[in-house]
Amino acid sequence: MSYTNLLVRLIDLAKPFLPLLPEIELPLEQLTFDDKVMYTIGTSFLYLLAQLPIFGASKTTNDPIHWLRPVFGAEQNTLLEFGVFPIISSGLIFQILSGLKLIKINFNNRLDRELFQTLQKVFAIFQYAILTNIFLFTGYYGYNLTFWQYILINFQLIGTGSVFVFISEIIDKGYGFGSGSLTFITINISANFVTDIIALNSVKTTRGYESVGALVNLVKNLRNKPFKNAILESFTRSYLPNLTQVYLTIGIVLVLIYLQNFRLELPIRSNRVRSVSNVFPIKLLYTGSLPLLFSYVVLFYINILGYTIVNLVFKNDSNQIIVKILGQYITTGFNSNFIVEKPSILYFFSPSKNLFESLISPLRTIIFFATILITSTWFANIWSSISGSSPKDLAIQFKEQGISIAGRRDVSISKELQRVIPVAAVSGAAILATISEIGELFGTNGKSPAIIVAVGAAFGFLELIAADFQQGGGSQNFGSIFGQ
Amino acid sequence: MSSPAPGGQRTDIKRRNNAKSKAQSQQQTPTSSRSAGFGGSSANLLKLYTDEAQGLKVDPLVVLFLAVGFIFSVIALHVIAKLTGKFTS
Repeated sequence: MSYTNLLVRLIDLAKPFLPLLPEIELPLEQLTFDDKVMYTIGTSFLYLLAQLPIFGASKTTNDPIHWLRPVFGAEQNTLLEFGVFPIISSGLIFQILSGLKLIKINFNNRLDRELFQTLQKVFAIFQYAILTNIFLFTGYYGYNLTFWQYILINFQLIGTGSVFVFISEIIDKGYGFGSGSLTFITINISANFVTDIIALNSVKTTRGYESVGALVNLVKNLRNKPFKNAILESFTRSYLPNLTQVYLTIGIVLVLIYLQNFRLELPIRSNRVRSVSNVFPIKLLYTGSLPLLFSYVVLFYINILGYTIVNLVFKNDSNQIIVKILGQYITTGFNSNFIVEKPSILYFFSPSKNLFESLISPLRTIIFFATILITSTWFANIWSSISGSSPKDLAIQFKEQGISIAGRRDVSISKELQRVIPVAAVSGAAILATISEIGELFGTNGKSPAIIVAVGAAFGFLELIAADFQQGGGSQNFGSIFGQ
Repeated sequence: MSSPAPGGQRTDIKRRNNAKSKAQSQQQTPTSSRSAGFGGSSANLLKLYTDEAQGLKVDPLVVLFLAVGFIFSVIALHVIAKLTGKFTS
């Protein structure tokens, strides 16, 4: 009895925040297609606008999470230092805990749902605060900061975090399409994808000015250097986007589009009308790209925990035994990435820099891949049964709509779906993990999982948009664009 | 108890089993707000904040304008710092 009381109290923690936190009003009626498009574009634009440099921080920083950034739409040294990681991790963790009944929440009870939602929100903002201060006190923003710099950096990062918690709430509540946090990730990744290919700006390197865009760099090299060198260099430069990464990303996008069409079509028929039969598709990527997102949440936690212990407690001192076990951080040259280069715990939980490195340290490649594979398949299995599209929920929906699987009795619908859905979800997640790892073998530094997450989310949005469009979007201005 | 159920013993067992499974399914609590029928994360999209709690109710446009205001305040900080030459690192 006391045990359950203790668990109930976890959502009660959010009670004091309930009257304080702003709540977006639910739309009074279904928004029109045009309004939804406008809200989605507007909020995405705000997300891109927030990529401002942080005020008061030093310019050269040692970035320990550079390979985790793309997946969460984070940009180094900007207001979006952590992207939407706190929002997503808090959401995923609490929804899994409640789905596994580790936190007791009665979703039929309105107050419980409200408390649960507020708890997720508070924890997201809390994580923004914690991460900001970890970075401040480990010297990420420079040492010897003044008191005002501490205050200002805290104000900017926690402020941005809270702002985007509320903006993602706007989208989640039906003013936009689908999910707010995934919209931000998708828009950020697509913007970076274009930047990597055709960015016109150039950066000063040890070899003079170099173009950022991989394709622009190729053209520039072809004009200035001997042919062979030009080609080789455009494919292999490690400090800026290169053509290998670009081709890999394009390849991954194509493979994902192909995989989206893999489905098992269960023949269904109506109980009410005779001779009306149809198919119900169960997609291979049943859980979309969420499993991969979850894997990177886990990796983020492992790395940030290690980073905190090594840098905050032991000051990155290589004489300490714990630093030796966890791994000592070393600054790399151009990008000033902060990485672990010697075999140690953190070393095994980070991807290799390039193909050569992943081949000479196979153990690291295997452990990193195994971590992603195990976490994503575990998540896919759990998520497919708790997310509200589980076999049981679908069976209930079928019953309400008077549908049954052809040749099956009503009772065995749930069993039949149970036979298919978890298998599809788990194998889909395993395939995505493998594709992501193939990309990481070549040293895409987090870009390949990012593009998988983006394409997966985009397909989720596409379904919603298509459904919305069919419900009378054709008469609208934006709708008519889609119609042609 | 002694009177046999209409339809014989088999039907009786079937009936009992049906009643049992029905009671079980009613007792089970939903695992997410979507399965309780209130919207929320689906299989491939993560939706977090879909319920309206009793808090400070705000119009979405107000939030968007405040967000723009926040971003411009940071831009203003940069500009002021450039003009006065303070805080530069």
